[in-house]
Amino acid sequence: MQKTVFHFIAATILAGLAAIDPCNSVGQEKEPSSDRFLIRAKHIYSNNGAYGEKGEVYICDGKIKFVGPSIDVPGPLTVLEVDSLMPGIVDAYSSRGLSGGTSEVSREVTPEFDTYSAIDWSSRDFAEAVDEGVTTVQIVPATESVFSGLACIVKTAGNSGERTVAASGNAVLAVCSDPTSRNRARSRPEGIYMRQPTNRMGVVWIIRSSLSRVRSGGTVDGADPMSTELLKEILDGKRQSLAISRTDFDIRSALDLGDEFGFKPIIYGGDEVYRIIEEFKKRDVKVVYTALARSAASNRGSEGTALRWNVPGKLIEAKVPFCLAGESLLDQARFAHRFGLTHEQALAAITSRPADILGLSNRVGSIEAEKDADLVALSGDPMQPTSNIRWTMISGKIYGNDKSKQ
Amino acid sequence: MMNHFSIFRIIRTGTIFRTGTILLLGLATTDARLHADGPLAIQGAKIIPIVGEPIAVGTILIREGKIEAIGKDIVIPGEAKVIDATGKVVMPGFVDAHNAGAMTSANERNELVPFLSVVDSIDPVAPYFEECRRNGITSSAVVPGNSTLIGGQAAIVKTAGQYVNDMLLKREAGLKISLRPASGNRMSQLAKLRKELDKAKKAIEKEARGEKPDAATEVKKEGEEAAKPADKPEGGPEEPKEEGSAERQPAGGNDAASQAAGIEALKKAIKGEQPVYIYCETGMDVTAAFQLIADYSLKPILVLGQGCYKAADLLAKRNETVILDPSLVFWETNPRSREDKKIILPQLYQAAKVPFIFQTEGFGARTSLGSSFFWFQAATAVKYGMSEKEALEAITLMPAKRIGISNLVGSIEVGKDADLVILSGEPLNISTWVEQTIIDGKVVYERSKDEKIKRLLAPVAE
Repeated sequence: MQKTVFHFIAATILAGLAAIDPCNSVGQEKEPSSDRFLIRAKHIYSNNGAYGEKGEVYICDGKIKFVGPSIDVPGPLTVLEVDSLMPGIVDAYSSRGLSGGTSEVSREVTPEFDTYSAIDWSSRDFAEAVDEGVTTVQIVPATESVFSGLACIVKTAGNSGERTVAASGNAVLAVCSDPTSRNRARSRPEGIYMRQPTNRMGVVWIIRSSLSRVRSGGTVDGADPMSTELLKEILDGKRQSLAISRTDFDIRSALDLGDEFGFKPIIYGGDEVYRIIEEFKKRDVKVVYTALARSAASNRGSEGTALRWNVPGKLIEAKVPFCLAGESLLDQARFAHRFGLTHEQALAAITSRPADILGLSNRVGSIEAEKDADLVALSGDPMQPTSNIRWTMISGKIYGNDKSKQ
Repeated sequence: MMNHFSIFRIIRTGTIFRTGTILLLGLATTDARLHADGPLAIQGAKIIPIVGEPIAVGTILIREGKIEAIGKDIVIPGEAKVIDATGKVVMPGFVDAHNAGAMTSANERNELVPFLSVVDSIDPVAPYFEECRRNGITSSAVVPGNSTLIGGQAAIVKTAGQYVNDMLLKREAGLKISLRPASGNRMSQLAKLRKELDKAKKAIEKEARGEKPDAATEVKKEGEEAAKPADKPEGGPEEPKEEGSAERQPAGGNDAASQAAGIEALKKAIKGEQPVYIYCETGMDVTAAFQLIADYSLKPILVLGQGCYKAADLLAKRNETVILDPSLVFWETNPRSREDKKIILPQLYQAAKVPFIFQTEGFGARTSLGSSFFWFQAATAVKYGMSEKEALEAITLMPAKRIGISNLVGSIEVGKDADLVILSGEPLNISTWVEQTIIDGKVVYERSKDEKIKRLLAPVAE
């Protein structure tokens, strides 16, 4: 009954739209089927609607137009039959495509340095991302300087110029020991190699002193005037800041600095957030959890953080908004599921949740009408390690639809 | 009667361990019900025996560490201890054919140490063994690392025990040779290797002619020569080093005794009495390995690095099971065309019809969660087109065959060692856990008692 009703509504709306729908009229003349798709999936996994049920998705002009159990679409279009369909994966913490060095190593306060200006759009990193079903990435600078720079958000494939989601975005603060890594205490004070901080106390001090100067109308010592402007934006709440912090005491420092200067950083890393989960219950702080990523293991050694497998479960229990991030995200979600999250929670942790945290839930992260046509088709249940990605669609364009994979 | 028969068989198969325990057992079977090592039955589980079709609901009967019966309608003796595994899946324990995780340090600084045995380096309480039991690995070939020219002799052990000798299945289980130069280049690597093998070959020929093996004097001279430090190009690129290589201690090796022992080990390899693990890093190492195998009539076990897939056609001609690199999927960029290519090893080797088994990345903190596990490696192969049946065989019976212990382990068959894994569900499902691991009929791991896993899964601040 429900199916028939929907069927009727969809057909009616489409018929009504036919005259004004640009892809319906224009698309028919040249390349009739390249930008209109009907995807028939045995299972659609998206946090809206019936999870895991059979369904169809109509895509036109790079956007999802309709989602339902059955859709009638007039006119020529490409029909794709798939087993499982899920939203494109959103990675909130990536350095993919960042070329020519990922961190400034001569100065600590470079908040205006922009990752967006250093993206190699044809980097292999993006090909790998598409292959792994990752369609949107936030590119974050590395953490060797305290005010590391600006993150940006891009699609992993598409026509250059159309891939930008948010240029010059969130401001990155390294509230951890990372910035001390190359600094040497024994250099001559006037030498160009002399750089503070050489310890973690100094990291916090640089953040505090820089923000204090700007708050009291001064400028950041030795930095560009633009740096001052940027820090002002953080203080005025006009620009979101991301604090890279993994140990419990680093996370606490980030929160304390936020309290002191009236801003609310999003915690990136968050390995030991379980140790201060009570603190998080009281506050409205979001966590981008990266400890399940392979690269996180190298920090774990130096910082001595203990890996806990089900931190995501703890975050859900405490109702802390979070997402998974870092490389091999689909496998991360699979392991998060193994470690305790439900199927739906694990899938959301790499799709709708990161979209929420990045403020992009109106565009990506779920399979809903009017959202970007960013989709991943799989040979089976997305949470099983035996399921393979068949193709990835980004803004209505299909990538990796290799015949040999069928 | 049964007891005597078992003892006989264990001795015959060349395993010298645990006979004491079984003798004691033989004396103490008057009341088997009271004895912990009485018969054990696993009931109600789906059984995947690897050899033969899966049994939907079956029973496995174990007596004195061996599988006595397997099937649908097995009568369980009254005195047997019963494990109710209803709804669970039982498989043979997994077999690791190449791992250095049990060694305190994988590589030796001295590059020619054929006389060394990993037996002296195996730490029974190493975290590696604990992780093995937790993950269903019941037999493991402990092999020296990939950074030493002739790295010593491997040994095969069961993954539970207090003393190495209790765990040993096979001493002298393979001589490890690496064709990846740790220093210098491939020319000198091969030349040094051939020189050592030639010495052993000459010794064999001398013996065949009935001449006295005047090893003592001959070896002494060679020993002095070997004492010279290896050529090392200055300012060359740093070679990839394996974990633990920094703490390498130089072994002896320049004295006559170790030289003679080294020649003996090499002689065994040339006579085919001991297989040779040959690590090949790239495709060209594979052809070099083939030449060595032909020239010295070696019995190889090939351990392949990532780049060896380029020699897949050659490998297919040998039709021997190879051990793949733990990174089963990776990317390459053509240096000239800048074309990016995804390399999927299981798919490539399957297409070339080269039989293969897996390695894992070990259980270190620095590894990813995925490729540390055999089930994940098998699942990856299935993801790229292998059948589940083949993939499961590639983590049980195939490695057992490859390292020569398939008469004892690798499948659930009457007469084989009772090395079993009881899984909570289908082996390649993401939500499946090892519930119990059984080695020689003894439960060596129980998830319900695993406090470490509980802590990892329920993060609580301490």
